[in-house]
Amino acid sequence: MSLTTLGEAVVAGLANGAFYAFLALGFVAIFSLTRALNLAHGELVLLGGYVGYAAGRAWGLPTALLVPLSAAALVPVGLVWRVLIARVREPVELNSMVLTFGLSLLLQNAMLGAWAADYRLIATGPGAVVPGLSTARAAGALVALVTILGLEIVLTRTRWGTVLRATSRDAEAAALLGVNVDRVGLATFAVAAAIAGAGGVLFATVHYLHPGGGVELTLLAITLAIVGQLPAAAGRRRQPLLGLLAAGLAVGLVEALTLAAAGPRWRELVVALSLLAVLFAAPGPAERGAAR
Amino acid sequence: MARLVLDRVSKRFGGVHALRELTLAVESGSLVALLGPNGAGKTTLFDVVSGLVPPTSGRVHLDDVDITGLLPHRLAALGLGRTFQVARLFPELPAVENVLVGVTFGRPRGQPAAERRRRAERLLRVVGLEARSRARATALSLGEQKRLELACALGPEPRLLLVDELGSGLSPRGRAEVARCYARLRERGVTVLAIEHAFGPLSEVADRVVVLDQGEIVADGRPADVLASPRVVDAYLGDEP
Amino acid sequence: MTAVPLAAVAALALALAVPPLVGFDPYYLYVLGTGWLWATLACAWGLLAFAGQVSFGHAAYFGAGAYASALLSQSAGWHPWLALGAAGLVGAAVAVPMGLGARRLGGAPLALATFAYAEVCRLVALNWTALTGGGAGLVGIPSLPLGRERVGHYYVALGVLVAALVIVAGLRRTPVGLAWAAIRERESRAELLGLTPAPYKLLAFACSGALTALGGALFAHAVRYIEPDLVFGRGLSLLPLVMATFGGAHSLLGPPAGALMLYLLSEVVLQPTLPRLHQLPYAMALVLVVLVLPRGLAGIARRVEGP
Repeated sequence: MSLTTLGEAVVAGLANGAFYAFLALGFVAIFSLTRALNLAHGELVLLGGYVGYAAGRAWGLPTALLVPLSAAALVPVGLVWRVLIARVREPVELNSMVLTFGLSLLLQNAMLGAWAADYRLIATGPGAVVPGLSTARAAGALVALVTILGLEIVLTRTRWGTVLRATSRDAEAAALLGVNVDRVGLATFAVAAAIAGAGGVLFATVHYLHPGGGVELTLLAITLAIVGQLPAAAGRRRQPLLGLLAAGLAVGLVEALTLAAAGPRWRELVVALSLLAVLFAAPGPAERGAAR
Repeated sequence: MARLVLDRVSKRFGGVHALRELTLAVESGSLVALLGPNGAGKTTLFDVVSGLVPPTSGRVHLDDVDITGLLPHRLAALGLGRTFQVARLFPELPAVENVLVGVTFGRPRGQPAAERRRRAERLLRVVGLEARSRARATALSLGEQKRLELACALGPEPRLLLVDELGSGLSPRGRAEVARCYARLRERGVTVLAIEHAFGPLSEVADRVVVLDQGEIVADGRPADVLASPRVVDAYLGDEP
Repeated sequence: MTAVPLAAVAALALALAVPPLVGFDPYYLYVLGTGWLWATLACAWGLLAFAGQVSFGHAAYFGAGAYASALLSQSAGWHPWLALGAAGLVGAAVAVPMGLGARRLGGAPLALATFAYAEVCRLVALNWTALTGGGAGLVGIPSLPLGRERVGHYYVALGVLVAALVIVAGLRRTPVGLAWAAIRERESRAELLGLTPAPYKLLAFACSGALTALGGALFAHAVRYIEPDLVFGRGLSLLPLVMATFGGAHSLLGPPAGALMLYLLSEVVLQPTLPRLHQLPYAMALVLVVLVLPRGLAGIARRVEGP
């Protein structure tokens, strides 16, 4: 592998990695607030992509407009998710998995019905920011970084962020302190869905959309959520989203280097295997605590 | 039938000194009551002895074996049993099966099914639950659950039994049943260290009373002597004796 | 669920053996036969749930069984019955990693692991083209030598179901069954009472995997064409889960009953009349179970029975 290829791989890997972290935000937000594991996450992202694709085809809108459009379109879906997930009984982790597993298949079938199994892409202009980094990828990475850093600031430095973090830690206590927990929940799910929608459009500019592609995205989000939590577990809780970003960058880098070295065929397998590795490698007590 | 010795056991949780240089010996086959107000350190003592929590310093011996810091299932194999203040039963299983788990997988092994079943039923009789053997654990009353908890702990035929507040939160009738349980335990010759908040259920049968306050032993002796001691009354000031 | 009189079960089994002999319409024989297969899959999933382990990746074992039996009978020339038996063993073997994993993980993390594991199996089948034919799948899988096909498959599927139920019922009465129940109800206390959970969890996974793989193998020989998305698809992980929990995951007859109800509702009632909605029973059952009926139908039966 030449140095140029290596360099290109690193750049692409970091850009992808930032984008993966961005894609995982919706999943992490829902989990942090409710402990629910949204196995339909990938399908929601794809849905955003498909909506953007359809709108682009129907109304000829530029891609830049499709992003907010899709974000807005997914907000009602997020609210539906909120209603359902709020009613899940204990243990929330497992039961939410059951519910969203079913929802994911429903969504997958719906998308299959609407758009068939063909591979679709949202077209963007050609050109590359840097060799090996197309404009589309760069745009995705930029949006990702801006959003993550922006949210990090909101979470740690605004009153709203404090309210959100308090509610995540202990909803009852927050309610007793006058927080409208319902509104926090609705807002969180709405934002999570919006980010998924926006991410879906950006995703579709770089990767092909097909109804079965959601699983990989979900597995990736879960992996990042777990890895991203590790700094928090180690005691450094002040920058929750930066941990996620770091995890994303790491995964993106590894993936890009593997791709450059071994080719694309086994990429999906690597994603699934890394989740397995992360689940079994992460320190014991964290699992045990959630499990029992 | 085993002798338990605590040798200068201390336990700190951050700034909280839950146990202070505690030294205690429980003779083989005796029934010792462990009393004290809330927060005295009684349950922490149990947690340290039963391996759920390692002591900050000090040693624990069961007969001549140093059991300090051994994990709970190792201790179970050595013959240590324990009940919990909030009963940790198998909720959906019938009472007799709850007991059957300890009987089947505890120390005495390899007995035929019928014999194991009989032993389980016998243990239910010890705690006065023979009539409820088929009832699911969740269907039992609080007092019945606590007694089932005791029967479960007896399944593996422990040599030393730590009983945590068997009689608390019960009606007078419930407490009377519990008193009968203690009497029967005494007959079986198991070494028992029992936490109670109120002395009532143990008053007839305890050989000895140890009173804890703020992590230290403030009284230790025969029931009549201890309960008359002003230091003990002082410790309980504000609590119902 | 208290012990159902043996005579009633025997009578039911005999009654169910009758339809083919009386000349049922082959289509209905096919539907019922498939129903028996789903009931077996639900039973297998329920067995693992009985031991307290929740799997989101049973497709791994179904697919493994399907491919194992197909490859052994087709490429290696084994007699189909032999291949079928071997498929069961392969299923157990494929379940072993998860069974060992259950030592470290439980609850949601374990469920996630099984989910990822099934995906790994699917991707291996998809990409290991030399062995599995990749995305194109395997065609022309020999069928089981059964004489009249529909009738034969009906009896085989029914036979496997009955055998599975008998074996599971038997296991539940042994110390193994008690261990499984104790682990499910409160693993930490079971450990304190002298039980080592690890081997029992491993056994539960192996049994569940073997039975599911057997189902996969039967499927492969009946349909005679398999491909990764078909036999490793997520539906095969979700449906037994929904069926079993709808019927009552920890009961013996709940999972097969739930499976039959939902499958027949979907296939016989909805598919002909409202085909676009034929997945509705599963979706509703899922929502019902998660939001309202955590113990499924068996829970209702028990409430009626009394404590």
